[in-house]
Amino acid sequence: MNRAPGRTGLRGGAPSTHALLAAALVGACLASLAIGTTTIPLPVILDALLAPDGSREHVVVVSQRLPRMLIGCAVGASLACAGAIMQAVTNNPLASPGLLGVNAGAAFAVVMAIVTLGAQPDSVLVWYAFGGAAASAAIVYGLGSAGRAGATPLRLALAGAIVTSFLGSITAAVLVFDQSTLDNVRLWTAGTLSGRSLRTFLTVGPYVAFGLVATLAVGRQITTLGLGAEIARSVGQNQAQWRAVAALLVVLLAGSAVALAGPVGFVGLVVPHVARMIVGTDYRDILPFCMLGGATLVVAADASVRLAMPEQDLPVGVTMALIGAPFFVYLARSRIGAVR
Amino acid sequence: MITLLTFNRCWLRHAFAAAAVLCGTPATAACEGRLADGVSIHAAPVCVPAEPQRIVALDPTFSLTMALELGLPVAGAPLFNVKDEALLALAKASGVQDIGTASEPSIERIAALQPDLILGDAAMHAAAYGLASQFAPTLLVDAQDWQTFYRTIAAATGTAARAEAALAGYEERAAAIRSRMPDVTVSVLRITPFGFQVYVDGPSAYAPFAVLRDAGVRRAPYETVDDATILKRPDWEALSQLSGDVLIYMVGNPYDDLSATSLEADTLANPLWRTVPAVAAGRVHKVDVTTWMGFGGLRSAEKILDDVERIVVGRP
Amino acid sequence: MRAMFLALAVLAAAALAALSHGDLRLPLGAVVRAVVGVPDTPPHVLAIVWSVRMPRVLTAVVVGMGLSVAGAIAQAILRNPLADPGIIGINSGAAVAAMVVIVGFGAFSPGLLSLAGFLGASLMAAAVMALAWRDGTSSIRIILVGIGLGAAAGGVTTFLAALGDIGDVQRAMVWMAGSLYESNWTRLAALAAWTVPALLAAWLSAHHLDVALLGETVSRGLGQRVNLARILLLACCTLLSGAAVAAAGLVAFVGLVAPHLARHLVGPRHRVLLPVTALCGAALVVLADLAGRTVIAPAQLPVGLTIAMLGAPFFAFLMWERRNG
Repeated sequence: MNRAPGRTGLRGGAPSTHALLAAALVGACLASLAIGTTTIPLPVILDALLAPDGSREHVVVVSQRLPRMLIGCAVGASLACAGAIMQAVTNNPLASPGLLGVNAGAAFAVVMAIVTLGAQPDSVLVWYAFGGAAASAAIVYGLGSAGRAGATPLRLALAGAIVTSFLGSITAAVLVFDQSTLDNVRLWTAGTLSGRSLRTFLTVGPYVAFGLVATLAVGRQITTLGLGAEIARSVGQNQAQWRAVAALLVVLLAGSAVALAGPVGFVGLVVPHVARMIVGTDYRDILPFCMLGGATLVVAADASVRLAMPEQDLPVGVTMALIGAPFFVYLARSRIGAVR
Repeated sequence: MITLLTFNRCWLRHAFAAAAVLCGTPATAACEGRLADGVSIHAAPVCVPAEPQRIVALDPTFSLTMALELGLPVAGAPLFNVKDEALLALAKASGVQDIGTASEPSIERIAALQPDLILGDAAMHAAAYGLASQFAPTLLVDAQDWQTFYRTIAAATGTAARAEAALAGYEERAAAIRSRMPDVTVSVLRITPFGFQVYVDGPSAYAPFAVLRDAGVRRAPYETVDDATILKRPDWEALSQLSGDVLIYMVGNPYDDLSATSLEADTLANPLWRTVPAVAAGRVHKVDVTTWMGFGGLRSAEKILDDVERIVVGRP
Repeated sequence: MRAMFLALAVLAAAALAALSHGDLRLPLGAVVRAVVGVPDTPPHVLAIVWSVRMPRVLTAVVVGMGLSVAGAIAQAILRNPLADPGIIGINSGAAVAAMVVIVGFGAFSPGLLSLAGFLGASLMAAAVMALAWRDGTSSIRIILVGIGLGAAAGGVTTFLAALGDIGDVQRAMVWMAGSLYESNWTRLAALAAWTVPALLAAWLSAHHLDVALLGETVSRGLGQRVNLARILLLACCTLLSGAAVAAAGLVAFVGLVAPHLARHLVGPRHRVLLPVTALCGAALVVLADLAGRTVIAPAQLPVGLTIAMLGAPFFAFLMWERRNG
């Protein structure tokens, strides 16, 4: 096995890491299927997936827990990849869909659509999510990168925080005002996996799948983008074109994730950093790691919370904030030097 | 204190009360109207006018509907978010002015209406009591049970006789239904985009479900409690605990039209829906969510009884 | 000096407009008569002016002053024109504390809630400073740690909301949207008691703020004890913002927008900047609340919402304008 220069972490390089991660993902998924109001043993789960016979336990697994697990995987994979791409393109270790307002934009657009046009089917809402994500990303990027200094981590983070706060306050105020139930507010202000149906997954899933496949395909270009403008130019990459592609991918992935489960933060921040620590700096390795790792993180976190607190339905967005925020603070302390 | 200065008959009386309130002396010292007292009244005792002529209701569900049913002259109520067409029509016809949303009614509009009595729900408006009571005697009812609410308003406004007559009629009808109640248990379920809700039968039951109890409807053990629980949120897997012989369900809430979504279709098509015994037996009935989730007074109670007769008992 | 009078005039005009507009349109003469106490004023006009609008307008003024000066302080010590106490998580800390009170105590007592909001803001500010401390403070780290802790606090707030009784949590949501609806004289007195001394303290430290803007090295060279100054000034900022949050819930952007407006008018010297900032902030909140009360009357838009709608585009314009600086 060759070890490319600059790789740190496990011996043997990326492929065996990916295999391990895939195994972890499968484990997390099976656990997610097993945990619930009644714990369903593994053989029954496998039977339910392979040869469903209409018995109650099989139905529970297939119609209840399976969509939740699938949506968790999709959301985790998309957000982690979106975060990785954002970090590469903006050359900013703190970039992620949650922090740079992309999630907030998508959620805002969906809430406004529901409030002004009435309840909509998911196939329509997902397009509002895309539109909102795109608009918000454009605004944050435009504001944060304008001027000579360019998109410093600080300017982007501030622009993102301001836009998130702006959209978040309007969303919250409108939801309070519109007599929406607490459940409504919860979904669109902190993502949740509960109550989402298989139909939603099947409607939005194709966009996620397309986004993930496309992401894997452009891994090399993303790596080049991540090396910085000058190097990329010297290698002959068409900067503008690939940045546009990257932006489209981010919108597709983050928008789909929000349409599926509301705004879930920090996955896109934490997973790419862990990926970089383990498999190095080549995005052809980082992106698959993000896909598998993000999915594992969300599914495992959700399953653990359900195991620990079966009565309480804790939104997955909250769990991610509680895990991710300390990590972010650690990053801010360690990565940002003592510059005045 | 706001007084209707053109209403000469009680002018002096009101002026005295106004002076008393403005000077901060306790209302009981100079209460020329009726002294409303009791455990279900916030900040009791409250001195209310003997025959209120301009009432402002602070919530559009219990206070407004009950006041209108008792024939009281209501000058203003929060109509901004009300989507119940029948109630809006009735309010407009009765000359009720809009004072905003129930959570933050416009104090200025209330002041401009120059009410002589303000009615409200203590749970929602206790924080506004101080401000509201500067304009008019403010009666905030602190009662979980709708009949207590009704009786409290009636007692304070001198319409007790009318209220008792109306409630007697309701009780008679409920008793008649009780006597004809077959030996079945009934489960009631609300389907929302964010899960199921089961409003339980218990001491703190939400009004429509207290009406069910009055009508002698027996709920499944899962749906019967003796603590202060108001609702339970079963997930799909717990749905089979709705073991009633008959299932009544409603979709959504009174404010949003969910017909564009596939919520109901998806729910009914889900294989786990059949784990509810009543579904397997084919005894499933849908009811109007506006009635069951937007309770307002005796009119709503009668509609609930109508549904019970239609579905459970059968018309005589 | 001229600018100060201009700002004062604008504020006075805004306040008079707010006193005379609302659901009941009171001509200016009637307002003046009610304020002065002319005997034959109809009692309901008297009540509207004195019990409803006056405390509300005065609360808006004090909240506006507190938040804008807090923003000016934050921008000076963090040396970043985009800093604002809301961004560095102070407001989220207040929200968490309020949620704890609601979920833990059930009863929605305004006094307790205000105190809790205030304590929450202080604890959060302390946490941000503590975590950002690595051989001294760095403004970038403070901001970033603030953003991170703010997000964590948001998560905790939602978590608590999931546990609480639905009715209580609904009311909490209304509070968190930022509203001046429950303004009254008692709360105004408490608010003023905290805010006025803090405003005075800030104004007296104007020189320190000017020095802080020059950067750490220069400040030390000029003899300022940088870390101590930062901590004390941040404490003042927290006091102002905590008191404002306690009175009116979460109102963002005032601390961002008002100092910039003031800087355009009078330049960066804090001795003059701080009073003008306070006046601009007060005018902003008064006007935003007036708009919220009248635009869709009789329903009331929370002031936090109207300011966000006004403030964020303004902020975007600011960021664009400052892109090269």
